[in-house]
Amino acid sequence: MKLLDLFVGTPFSEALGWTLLHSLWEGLIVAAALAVFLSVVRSPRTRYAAAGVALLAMLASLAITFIQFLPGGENSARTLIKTTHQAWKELPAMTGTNSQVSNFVTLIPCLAPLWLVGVCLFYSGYAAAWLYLHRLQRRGICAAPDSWQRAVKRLALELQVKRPVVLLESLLADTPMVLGYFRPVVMVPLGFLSGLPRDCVEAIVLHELAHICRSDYLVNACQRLIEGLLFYHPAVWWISRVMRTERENCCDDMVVMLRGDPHGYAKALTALEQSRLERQWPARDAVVAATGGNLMKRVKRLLYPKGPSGIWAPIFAAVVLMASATMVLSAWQENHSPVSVSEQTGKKLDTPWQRWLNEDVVYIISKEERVAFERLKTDEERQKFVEQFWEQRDPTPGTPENEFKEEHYRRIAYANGHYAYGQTPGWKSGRGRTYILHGPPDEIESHPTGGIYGRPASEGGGFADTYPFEDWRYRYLEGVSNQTIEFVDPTMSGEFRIASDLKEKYKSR
Amino acid sequence: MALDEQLPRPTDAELEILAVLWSIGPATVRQVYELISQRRPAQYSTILKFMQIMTEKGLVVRDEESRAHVYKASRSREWTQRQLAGHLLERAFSGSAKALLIGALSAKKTSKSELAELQKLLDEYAARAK
Repeated sequence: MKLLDLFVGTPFSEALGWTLLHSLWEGLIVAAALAVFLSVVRSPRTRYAAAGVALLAMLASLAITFIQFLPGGENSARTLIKTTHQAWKELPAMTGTNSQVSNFVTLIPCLAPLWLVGVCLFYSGYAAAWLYLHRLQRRGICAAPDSWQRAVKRLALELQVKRPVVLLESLLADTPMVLGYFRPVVMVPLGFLSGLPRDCVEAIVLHELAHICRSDYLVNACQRLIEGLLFYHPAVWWISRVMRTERENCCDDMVVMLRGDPHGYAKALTALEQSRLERQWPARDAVVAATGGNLMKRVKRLLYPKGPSGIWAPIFAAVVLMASATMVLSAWQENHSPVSVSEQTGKKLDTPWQRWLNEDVVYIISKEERVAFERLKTDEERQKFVEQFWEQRDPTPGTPENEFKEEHYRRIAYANGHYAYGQTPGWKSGRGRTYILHGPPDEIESHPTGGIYGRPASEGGGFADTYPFEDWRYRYLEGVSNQTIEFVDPTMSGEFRIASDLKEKYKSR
Repeated sequence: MALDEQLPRPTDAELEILAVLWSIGPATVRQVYELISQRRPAQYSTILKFMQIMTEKGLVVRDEESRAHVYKASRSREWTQRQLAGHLLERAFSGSAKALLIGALSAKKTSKSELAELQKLLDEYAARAK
C-alpha cells in the first residue's frame, strides 16, 4: 500500500492520469472522423486501412499527450491539448463552489495504477492465449494427407504466398484457423477435410491462405496489443470490431475474385458453420448468442453486393464533418485565450464589486478571502461577504462604529489626496500603498528636490548628488522596531517608488 | 459403461496417434508411423511401443484377425474431445485464445434459427439465378 502511495505521488502518475482522461475525447474525435469516412467508402480494403490508421492515431495521440504532460515536456508549443487541459483545470474555479470537481482532480493520479492493472490483466490474457495456441500446434494434431498438402501448395501459388504453408488436422480446433506468421500453419478440425465437399473445403482453405497472404496474424496480434493499452475506451473496441469485420470481407473478396462463384462460396461458409454446430463440442458452447450474426452480413454482402453509394451519402458526410470541425474549432478558440482565473471571473463581476475587491481592500484582503469572494454568484452573497469582512476586523465588535473600516477609508482618501502623480491615483503609488497598509509614519524626512546630501558613514560617507527621496520612519512596524522605508523618485515625475536598496537615491553609484 | 469413465486422459504422444487413427481410420503401426514421420522425425519402434501401451490402457483396440495387426481408437473422436475440453485449464485457455484466432468463421457461433435463415437466403438466390 505504501508503495502504491509513493507511485501515485509521482509526476509520472499524474501525467498518466491526465493523459488517460484526455484520451477519452481524443479517441472520440478519431472515431467520429472514421465513422464519417466509413459512411462514404464501400471498399473493404480502404475501410480496413482507415480503421487501422484510426487505431494507430489513437495510440499516437495517447503517446503525444503523455509526453506533453511529463515534466520537462511543458515547454513545447501550446497545443489544443494544453488549452483544453487549462479549461479543464479551471473548471472548478469557474463553476463556483463545485468541490466535487476539485475532488475529482485530486483523484486523477489514482487512475494510473488502475490503468496499469487493467493493462496487465489484458496482456496476461493474451499471453495465455498465445501459450494455448502454441500448444495447439503440438497437441492432438496430424499432418493432412498428401493429396491435400499438394492442393494447399497449388492454392498458395494462386495467391502468391511465398512462405511454405503447412496444413494440419487438429483434434482440438473447432474451426479452421491460421496460426503463426513466419511459419504459417493452416489448422483445420479433424474430419473437416473428409466431411465437406471438396470444392467447399478448397474455398475455405483459400480464405485461410488469403489471411496468410495479407499477414493478418501479425496485424491482429498488434491490434490486440493496442486494444489492451486502450482497453477502457469504447471507441477502440468499435474500431477493432470494424477491422475484424473488414478483414474477413477482404478475404472473402479475394476468394470470390479467384474462384468467381459467390454463391458457391457463401454455401461453403454456411456448410462450415452448420458442421461446427452439429459437432457441438465443447458442450459449454451449445448456448449461442442470437445476435452473433456476422456470418449473415457476410453472406448477404457476397450474394447482393452494393454498388457505389448514392450522391447523398458523401454530401451528408461532408456536412457532418464540417459541423464537427466548426464545433471543435470554436471550442478551441474559446479556451485558447490565455486568461487567468481571477481575470476571467473578475470580468464577470459587476463593477462596484470589482472596485471593492481590486481597489478598496486590495492590500488587506487575504488570498483565501479573494478566492472565496470570486466564487460568489449573487449580489446578496457578496453584500453579506463584505459586511462580514469588516466585522471580522472591527476592534470593538458590537458597537455601531467600525473604527478599522473608518480608518481604512480615511487612509485611502488621504493617499489619494497627497500621493497621486500623473494619471496614477494616490492609492496605487508606493507611498499611498504604505500609508494605507501601515498608517502615518512617526517621522518623515523629505528631500523633494534631491541634490547634494551628506552621506551617512554607513553608506560610504562624504557628499553625493541624489534624486528626490523621502524616508519614512516607523517606531514599530510588523513586530520590528525602528523601521525606515525609503522612497526614491528617479524619474522626477512625482512617482516615489519604494527603494529596495539605500543606494538607489544616489545619481552615481 | 462404467469402464468408459475410467479411461485415462491420453498423453500428448498418445493423442497424436489417436488423431492419426481418426484421420485415416483403422490403420497398421506402419501407416501411423508414416504419417507422423511426415511432420517430425520419429522411430517406428517408439510408435509401436506407444501403441502397445495404449492397447493395455484401452485407448485403442487391436484387430488381430488379419495378418498385419490393425489398430483403431476405442472411443469416438467427439467423446475424447469432450473429455479434453471439460478440463478446467483447457476451458480457461481456449476462451482467451479466441482473441488471437483468425479464421474463416468468427469465434462467435451463429444460432440455429439464423442458420436456417441463411439456408433460405441461399436457396432464394439459387432459385432466382435459374
